[in-house]
Amino acid sequence: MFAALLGREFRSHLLTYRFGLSSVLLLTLIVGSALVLGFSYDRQLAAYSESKNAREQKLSESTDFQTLRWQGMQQEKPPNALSIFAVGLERELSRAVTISSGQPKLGRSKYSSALYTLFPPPDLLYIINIVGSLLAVLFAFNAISGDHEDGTMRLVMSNSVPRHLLLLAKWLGGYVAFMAPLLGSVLVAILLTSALTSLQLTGQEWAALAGMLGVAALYLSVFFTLGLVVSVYTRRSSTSLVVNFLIWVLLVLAIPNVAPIVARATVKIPSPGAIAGERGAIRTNAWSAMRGRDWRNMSRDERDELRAKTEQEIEEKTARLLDDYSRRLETQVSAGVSLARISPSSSFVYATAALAGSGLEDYSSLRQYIDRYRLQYLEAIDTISDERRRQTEGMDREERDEIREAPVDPEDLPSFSPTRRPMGEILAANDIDLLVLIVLNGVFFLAAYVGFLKFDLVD
Amino acid sequence: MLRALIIKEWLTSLLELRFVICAALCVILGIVSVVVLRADLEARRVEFSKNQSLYKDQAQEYGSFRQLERQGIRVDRPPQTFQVLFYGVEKTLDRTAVVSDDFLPGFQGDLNNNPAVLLFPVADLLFVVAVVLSLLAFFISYDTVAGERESGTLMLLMSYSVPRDLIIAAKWIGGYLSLALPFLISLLVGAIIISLSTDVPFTSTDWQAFAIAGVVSLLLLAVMFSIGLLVSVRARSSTTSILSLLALWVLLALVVPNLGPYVAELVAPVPNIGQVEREVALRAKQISDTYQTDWRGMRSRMRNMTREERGAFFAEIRSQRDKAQKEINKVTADIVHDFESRLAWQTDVARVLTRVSPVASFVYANTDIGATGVRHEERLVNHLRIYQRQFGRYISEQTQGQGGFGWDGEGGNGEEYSIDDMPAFEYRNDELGERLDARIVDVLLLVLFAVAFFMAAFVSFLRSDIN
Repeated sequence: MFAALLGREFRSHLLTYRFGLSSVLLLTLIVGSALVLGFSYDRQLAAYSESKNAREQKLSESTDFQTLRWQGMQQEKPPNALSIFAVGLERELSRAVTISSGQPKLGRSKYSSALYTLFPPPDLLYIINIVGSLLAVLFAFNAISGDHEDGTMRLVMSNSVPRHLLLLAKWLGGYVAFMAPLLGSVLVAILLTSALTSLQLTGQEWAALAGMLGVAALYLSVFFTLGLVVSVYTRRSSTSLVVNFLIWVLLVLAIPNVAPIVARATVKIPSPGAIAGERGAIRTNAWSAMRGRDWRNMSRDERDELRAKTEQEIEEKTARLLDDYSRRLETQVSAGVSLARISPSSSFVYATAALAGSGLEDYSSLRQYIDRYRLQYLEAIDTISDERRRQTEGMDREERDEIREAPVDPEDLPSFSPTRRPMGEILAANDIDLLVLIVLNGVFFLAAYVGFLKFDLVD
Repeated sequence: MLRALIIKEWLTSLLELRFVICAALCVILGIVSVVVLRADLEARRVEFSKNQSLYKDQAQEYGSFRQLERQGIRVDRPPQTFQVLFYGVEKTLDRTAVVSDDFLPGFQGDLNNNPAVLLFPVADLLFVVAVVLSLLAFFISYDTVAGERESGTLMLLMSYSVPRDLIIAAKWIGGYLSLALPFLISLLVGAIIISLSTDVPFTSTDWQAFAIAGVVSLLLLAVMFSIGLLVSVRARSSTTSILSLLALWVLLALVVPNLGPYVAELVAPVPNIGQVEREVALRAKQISDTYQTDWRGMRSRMRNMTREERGAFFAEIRSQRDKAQKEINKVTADIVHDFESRLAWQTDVARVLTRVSPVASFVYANTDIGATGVRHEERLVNHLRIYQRQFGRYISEQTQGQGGFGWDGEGGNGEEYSIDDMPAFEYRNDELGERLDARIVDVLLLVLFAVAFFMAAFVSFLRSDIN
């Protein structure tokens, strides 16, 4: 009987204008967005390889260790293929960063036009978050109230059909009918983007993409079930539509968009500019204190020791400042995230962006990676420089200069390659988001079930 | 008769649950957004003034003008009072610039930042009107004609001697009033909240901009309501009407404006920012190399110099270095200006492409009227460059006649080093008239869209089959 009910429900959706329109809309949006962002990814890849070549070229031309230390090298992480589907914080993560003995300096955004700030990127994440959830509600808003209004419900219930089976069939039939065009569109988008752009996913990225689609299925199911709940508790489909719309606006458009600003205004921290200034001041003050020293009467070893001690002092003070600031920053970020999690839309965005490698945790991991890389880079420069100095002891000037100023093999410098976080780590960090989505699904379905068992057919 | 019809339409709307919910949403969202953004603006203003004095204190610590020239002075983006309503480009995390003598300054980002705000659009009044209210406009208009046709009320009404043009006009006016009313209430409450805050200094120009932005918002609502009315006239059932309108809303409010910059990137490509930076670095290196070649063997020449000769020698080095720096600055400016003019062209292409959607025109018009849009961003960067020239002039006035490089206080006497009279970065928005002039095309487009869609609905209704 369940199969018959399911088949009937599924077919009833397939024949509606709603299904046709949703299918066309989703196909156009998802394929169009993937292609446009895919071409943008191509440009990023070309720019990345160009800058990598330029960096190696620069190293091969000449070597001035002082310049390498003070002015540093620009590094950037390779473009993220999954940003075609979820841009997230990729705009910030893709910036070049100058690694030197000073504080890491972030380059200009590659998304140079200010219009990128005015409008959010229309990626799959955005489409599912807003359009998908709205369509899910539209597919479910009249599932019960509509059948009740046109009398179909009474007709069906006049047969010996258990209510729980009917509700389950309505849920599953409607959900499958809604998800089919969406997943079909995603498949077409992946195929077309792979064929027309440079999109090539690794095994780990395929797993992440599958995870993203899984989270999307969970998220859309929350809204579909919510639509069903409202449909059960309202007698008219027009009322159901309005109530669903109200809840949808609050959950998708209001709460997630207000929460980060509320957190920023309530949990106050100094601005990054002030912290950068303080870092600069630590360095300036430390070296200013060195000015009065009698450098001329010191041996070379004493001078080196004093310099090393000063550098160490700077590093320690800076590390203390940054540790304290990072803690306060994390508190602010966590406050915003916790507040936003009132809405399943936020949980969906956090989890999907994390799976795509462009979430909040990726931002903070990159920050930590840059700090570690900077130390490795400086150490490598010191090692090469010391090694050459040792090699050239006792040589005549011409020979010595030739060896000391010989180009650095890029292989001798640590490679800047922030890696994707393993799936296990991502899932563990975002387990709360997944849990929220699963629990909401369960609670809403239970509410629909209880409401439907008590549903008065005569009223 | 028109008056009676309008009142009937309006009262019908007012008594519906849909109106109550839509009105409540509009008022609550409007108020919440203004309250939250007011708190944000107050925090930003406090931070801005605190940082200004902090940066000056830090610059004072440099100990010499040469150090100040080299290390530069930090400047924060001044918070815009209108961001309490339209956040616009103020969402950027690039908030601090370092103004020194050796490159074109720009506001830069920092990894020590809270990026959470970038994951979602800010729920400002711009978003409330462009996304939520435009959807509400469709929700209120979708069954204006289609619903009455289905329920038979339209046929009943037409059985009286009521001209069709009056009916459609009354439907538009009555329905639009029920949409505009909650918006005007939320705007009014927003104005009261802003005026009650002493930390949000709205000037008379800001209030004028507020009024104009309100009118532009009403224009957008008129466009969206007219589109809703047109679809309602053309659709056979109210279900078809609402579904078609939702699809249109997705395209007009969510897709077309957001895709614009990406499509423009393909249609009018600009060089990658890294490429521009590399070109600047290459040209700067070429100039520096030439300069260094001229001064090779400097140490051996210095050995036999007297103190006076050495002073003159340092002054000469300094003047040569300044010359080289000027040359580098000029080359940098040329490359950057070329890049920026191409970027401006790309932005214009994106604007033209996205103007198919009235929501995009609305966003361009209101962000620029409120001075939180692309135009403001360009002006801000230009002001920063003007300030760099002031800063450069100030440094050269203070270091006139001094040689050396200031590594050990030389050339910048530590005792005389005081930056109390150093010019501060000041930014003023341009006149409201200029802002409006710049975006008049978007306002006119909104008027045109509103008239065109209303006329289309009007003509369709005159020719439509009541059955």
